[in-house]
Formats: sequence, C-alpha cells, structure tokens
Amino acid sequence: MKKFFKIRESFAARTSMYIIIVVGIVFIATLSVSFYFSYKTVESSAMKNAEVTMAKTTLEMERLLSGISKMVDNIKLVVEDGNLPADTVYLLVRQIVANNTDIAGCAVAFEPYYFKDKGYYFSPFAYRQGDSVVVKQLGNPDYDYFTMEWYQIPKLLDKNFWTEPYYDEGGGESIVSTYSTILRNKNGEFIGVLTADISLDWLSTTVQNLKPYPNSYSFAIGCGGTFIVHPDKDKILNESIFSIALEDEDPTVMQSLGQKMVDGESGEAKIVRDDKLCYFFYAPIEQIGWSLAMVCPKDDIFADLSKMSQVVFNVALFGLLLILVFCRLTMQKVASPLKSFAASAKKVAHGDFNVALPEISSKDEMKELRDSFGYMQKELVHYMASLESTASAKEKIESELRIAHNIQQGMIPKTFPAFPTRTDLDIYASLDPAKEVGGDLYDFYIEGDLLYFIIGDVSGKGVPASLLMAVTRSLFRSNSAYLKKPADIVSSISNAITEGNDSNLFVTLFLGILNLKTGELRYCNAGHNHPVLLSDDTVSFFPMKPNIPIGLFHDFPYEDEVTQLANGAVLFCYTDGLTEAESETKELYGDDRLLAIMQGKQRYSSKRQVQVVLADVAKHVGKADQSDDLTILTITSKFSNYSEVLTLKNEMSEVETLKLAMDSFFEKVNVPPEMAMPLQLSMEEVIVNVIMYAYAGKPGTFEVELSECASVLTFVITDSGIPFNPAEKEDPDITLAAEDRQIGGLGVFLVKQLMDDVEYNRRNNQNILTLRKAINKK
Amino acid sequence: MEAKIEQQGEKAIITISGRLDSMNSGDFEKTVEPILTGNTKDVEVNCVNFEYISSSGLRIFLSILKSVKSRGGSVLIRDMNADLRGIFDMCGFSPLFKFE
Repeated sequence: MKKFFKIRESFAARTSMYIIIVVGIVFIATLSVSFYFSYKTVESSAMKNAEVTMAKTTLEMERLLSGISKMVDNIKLVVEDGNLPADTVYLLVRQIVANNTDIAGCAVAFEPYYFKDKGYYFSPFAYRQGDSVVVKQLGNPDYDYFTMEWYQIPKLLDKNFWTEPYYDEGGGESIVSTYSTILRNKNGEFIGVLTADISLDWLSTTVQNLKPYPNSYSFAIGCGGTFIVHPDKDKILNESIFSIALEDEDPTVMQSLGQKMVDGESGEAKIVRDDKLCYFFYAPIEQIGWSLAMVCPKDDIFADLSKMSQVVFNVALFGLLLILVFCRLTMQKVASPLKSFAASAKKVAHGDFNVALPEISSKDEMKELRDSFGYMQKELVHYMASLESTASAKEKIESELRIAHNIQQGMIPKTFPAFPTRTDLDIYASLDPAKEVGGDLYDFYIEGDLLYFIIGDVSGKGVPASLLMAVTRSLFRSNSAYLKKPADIVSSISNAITEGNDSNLFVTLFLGILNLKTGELRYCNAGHNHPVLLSDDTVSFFPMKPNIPIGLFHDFPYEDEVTQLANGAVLFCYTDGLTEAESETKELYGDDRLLAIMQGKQRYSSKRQVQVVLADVAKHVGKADQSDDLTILTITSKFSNYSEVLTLKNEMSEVETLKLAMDSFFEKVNVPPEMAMPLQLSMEEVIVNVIMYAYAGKPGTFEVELSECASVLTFVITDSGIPFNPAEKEDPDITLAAEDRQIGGLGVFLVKQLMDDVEYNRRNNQNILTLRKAINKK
Repeated sequence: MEAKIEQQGEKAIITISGRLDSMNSGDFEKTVEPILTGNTKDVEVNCVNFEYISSSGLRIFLSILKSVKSRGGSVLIRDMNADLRGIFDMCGFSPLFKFE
C-alpha cells in the first residue's frame, strides 16, 4: 500500500494523481453550479409555495368571515321588522348558533326599553356549550353591554364592525371576536345590534394548519399588533409583535415588519429567530384588519436539497476513488516495461550490449521504444567494434610516432655540457617539436679546434618535414667530413636535396665553422633567420647574406662569409618557431621582444640563456597551442681564457690551500679585491661540503678548475663522491625570528646568493658543480 | 683568526680579528663556550679587524644570539666592515643583531 502511493518515484501514481485532481476539479465545478441553480429553484418554489398557502388561508378566512357577516346582515332584516315578538328573538339566536357551526355565539342587543316589558337590558344570547346550545339573557347591571366595544363602537361609528378578540366574561366565557351589525327601525333609528362571535380556537386551528415545513409556524396579529393567534398560547392577547421585537438584538427588523403588517401590507423577509435564519411571509386579512404571518426556517426549506447534495457528494467521492484505483492499476500495467528498460539501459551502460529486452505484445509506443532500444543495442555493438579498431589503429600510429620522436631526438646531440673538458666553448641547444616529430634540426661536433655547427628548419611540420630533417642532418655530417668550406657543404646538401625533391619541400639553414682557438667564424646562410649576437654589452642581429633555402635550385651559388667573434661573444641561433610563437590572441613573439630579453644576458651560461628565453616565450604563449617547432642553439666562444686546475684531498686543511690558490688566481686575472671575499666564501662553502660529506669519511680527492674568460669567472668542482645537487637544496627561511631559525643550511644558500649561476651536472659517476660570476675588471 | 673574550659580570665582550673560516670555527666555538653555557646576558662583539666569515662562523654567531636571547639579552656588533655586513644582511641576520 505504501508503495502504491509513492508519488514522486512512480510515474503511474503521479499520472493517476494528476487525473484525479483534474476530474475532482471538474466534479466540484459541476456540483457547485448544479447546487447553485437547485438552491435558487428551491428558494423560489418555497416563496411561491408560501405565497400560495398564505393566499389560500387568507382567502379561506376572508370567505368564512364574510360568510358570517353576510349571514348576520341577512338575518338582521327579520329582527328589524317591528312585529317580531321579544321572546322569539331567543329562538332566533338559538337557531343561528345551532345552524352555523362556524359561529360560537350569537346575540341581539337592544337599546334600553326597546321592549317596554323587557326593561332596561334586553339581549337574548345563544352560545355553544359542548354539543348543545345554551340561550340566556345577557344584559344585567353586572354585564352592562351598552359600554361593551361590540355595542358601543358600531353605534358610535354607525357602521358594522368586527371587534378585536377579547375574553367574553359573563358571555360565552371564551376568547372571541365579535361581528356587530346595526339594527334600525323603519325610521332608520338605531335600535340595537345583532352580533355573531367566532371562537379564536377555530381561528387558531385554521392558522396552525399553515405548516408547510416541520418547524415552520404561523401567527396572526390584530390591528394593534397584538397576537391573536400564536403557537404559544400565553402570548395571545398578552404580547404584541412590537413587545417581542424588544427581546431581539436588533429590534428594528421585527418592528418594521410589524408596522408593515399593521399597515396591511404583504411580503416576505429574512429574519433570525432562535439563532436560525428564517423566511418570514406575511399578508393581511383585509376584512377584519388583521395580519397573518408565517415563519419558515431556512434549514427546513433546503433540507431536501442539502440531503441530496450530501448523497451526490458521497457518490462523487466514491467515483473519484474508483477512478484513482483504476488509473493507478492501468498506468502500472502500461509503465511496467519501462522498469525493465531502465534495468536494461543500466546493463548496456556497463558494456553488456546483448542484454535481453522485455517482451512487448502491444503495438503502441512501448513497442516502438522496444524496437528503438533494440536498434540502439545493435548499433552500439557495431559502433564499439569500429571504435575499437579505430583506437587500436590510432594507438599504433601514436606508438610509431613516439618511436620516431625518440629516434629524431637521438639524432641530435642532447647531452650538456657537451664538451665538459673544454674551457674555450660553452654550447647549449634545445629542440621542441610542435608535434611528436618536427622539421627543425641542429647539430654540432668538434674536430681539432674547429666547431662544426648547423641549425635548420624544414618547411612544414610533422612526419614529412621530419624525414627531410633526418636527411639534412645526415648530409651535414657526411659532407662536412670532407668539405671544409661552409658554402661547399651547404651547396652539396642543397644539390642532394634538390635532386628528387618532388614534394617541393625546402630547408633554411645556418651553417658555421668556429675556430675555438682564434674566434674566427666561417659561415654560410641559406635563407635562415639572423642569429642574435651578444658582444661587449651590445645585442644585435648577426649580419649575413640571406641567400636562399636549400632544396630549391640545383647549383645555387652559396657564398661563404667570415667574421671574427670577440672573446666571450655569444651567437644565439634559433628557428622561426621562436620569433613567430603565437599568444592566445595570435600575437607573434617578435624580434623586438627577443632582443629585449637577451639584453644583458651575455655573461649568462648558454644553458641559462636558453632557459630564460624559453620561459619568456612560454609566458607569451600562455595556454595557446605551440604553433611551430622551436629550436635554439647558442654558442659562447671563449678562445682567450686563463684556467688553473687543482686537485685537492678531502681534508679540512685544503680550505687554506684553495684560499691561497684563489688569491694568486685573482691577481692573475685582475679580480677587484672587494670581490675576492664573496668568491672565496662561496668556494669554501662548496668544498667544505665535498670534504665533509662526499666520501662518507673515507679519503678521496676532487678537482677544482678556476678559469676566466671575457670577464666571466667559472669555477668547476668535480668529485666522484655520493650524488648531491646543492642547486636543488631548499633555501632556509631568513625572515624567521632568532628563536625559530635553523642553525645550519646557510652555506649553499649563500653560494646561490653570491654567484651569478650555479649549475649541477652528474656525469660518469661524478658530481660536476659549475659556479659563474661576471666581474668588473680593474 | 684571533678571538678573545672578556667577561664583565653578565656582559661579555668578544674581540675577533682575521678570517673565521671552516678550519678555525671550532676554535672560535671553544672560545665563546662560556657564553653559550654560562649566564651571560649581553654580548658585545668587537669586529675592527674582522675580515672574513663563512657559514660555519655565521652558525656560531647564531648560537650565541640564541643562547643570550633565551636569557632575555642581546648581541651588539661593533665596527663590522661593509663586506661582512653585506653577508649578514644576505642571511637575514641584520634585524636579529644590534649594530654600532
């Protein structure tokens, strides 16, 4: 049951609920409209019913009263005839009462001494007592009828008259209303009255019959508003409609209704009686000036309607419940395959493409869904198979490219320092292809005192360019082995490439042969970028003839050029991947930025120069993709230099030995005295580390080379102890308070602070630490 | 390197001259041992002819500072030459010592 009403999770429950809400709203609207019109109909029919009943009752009463008055008026002719013997009047009145059941009593009252022998009072009176009729003479000193309302008012007004109800004491001894008709003699003189009494009991019965609803009641009031008929007998003649109005919270409602009744109007109103809303109908009984009223509680009038509404509501509620259950069960049945689909989809997501689908027998959307699902399964199997083969093919290509990359990187010299024993050359290079393999190349080697070097850029990128790059590099090695002029080598390579160059690829080259003893540089350019020359604090592009790239024309006359490099001058060669490196906004790195970043860097080691430039390019490129292969080859020629090599033991006394050796070295290369202290301090720190830790307490030796070239001091410390890279050592935090400061760790930190460059290399099981410092000579 | 120490109650005056390097820093450490272990509060280092210091020497200066600081004292360095002062600056020692 709980599951049945899980609205949120169940499609069936949710849909059923929506249907019930909509149907419920329609039901309520329909019932409301129907109830409204029924209400109006019942109300108007109740009104009509009340009006008719009232009219019928008043008509009945009018008819009765006028019957009595007409009968009396007719009989009076008999009495007015002067020949009627006095005693016959007794018979007359008895007969009238006996013959008219509507009449409670009948009297003929004469003026004093009308019959001489009958004296002052003569009024024969007949009235009903049980089933018999009693006759008596009414007038006597105790019952002075001349003062009675029923005698006096008609006489005074000279017209027939209905009295207000009164208790006929000494007469009929009951509450009656009397009709008096005037008797006259032949001369038209007043001789007395003939009266007929009607009993109010009779009137009450008639009025009480006015009861269209179980709790409705009626009453009648006289001319002054006094109750003549009322279900509460105590109110009759004792209270009036105005006196009971005073008991109401708002007396004016009843008072104004009373006034209208007294004025003989008819109508209806809504009043509150005993805390119940009631319809109040009233109409006059014109003949005697009375007014009749009927009070019907609203609940009574609409009792049937509300009972019917109750039944309709219950039926509707039951109907809604029935719809809910029916919808829920139907939806559940319709939606049940969806659960199976969900389970199947989950299995498909986990790779089980052949999972069984629920059987759908119907030919509706569910069947369509099943077919689509089945189709998807089939397609997935197909797709996965093709994806797998694509992926494996791609992987194969990628793996081959990786191998090609390694082969290509293996073709170029990549171990630095390339010539650790040579103090007259500092060379460093970097090649960074945009893809796995690229068309950039560099190469160098030393033969005797000559450095052969080449940097080049094959047009295009990727595998085609890389093949030509490999060919070019091989041609450089083979041709330079026997050709001694750069232009000859370039021409030879160019001719070899041009031959059979169906793809029309070309290569820009810069090829040079540097005499490491003299600084003389012979070179040939084949359409390559101008290298940057750093010398004597100036940074400029290296001047050379452009010529044309190789691979275009057979036997193009490439020309040699010769220049003398200054001692310590730097030749910074690169490919256009550097100056044309694109930023995220497609801006090029540019020649100007290259010249600017190289400014003041001539005393940096070649490696550091390359690192500085590559870091700046990386900053420029940002998150953009590398657009082209990027190659740098930088050469510092130090043909004129001075160097000394010391071999020291790992004993603390060697600190003094080194100090003395450095003092004499400084004097030879003209190091200003104020620079001596920091240099000695740095070297002390470095060798103390070697002495104390490199050989783990065993005796050992290490080499220190002190050299100077173009105002740059280079100290190389080589030991064969345990590997230790001081350049990687973390710096101490020098901002801490005295209490928190570590006692040690300052030595290496000071070396890094005091020297321009600290470079560590591990080669042939040796720690090679190189310190550099530019000096200002005296 | 030559170093001597003069104790004046809770105050010690160190006079150092020449080169304080890794070879002789052990000697200097012995010389100043009374300051490290005793109850000296304030230390004055006279550096008129003090020429050279390496990290082993800086380490001893820091040890002296730490021990007198723990007693609420301070270290005053007098007449140190600009080169050595530069080394002290580089190590972040300048805010820790007083200089005159």
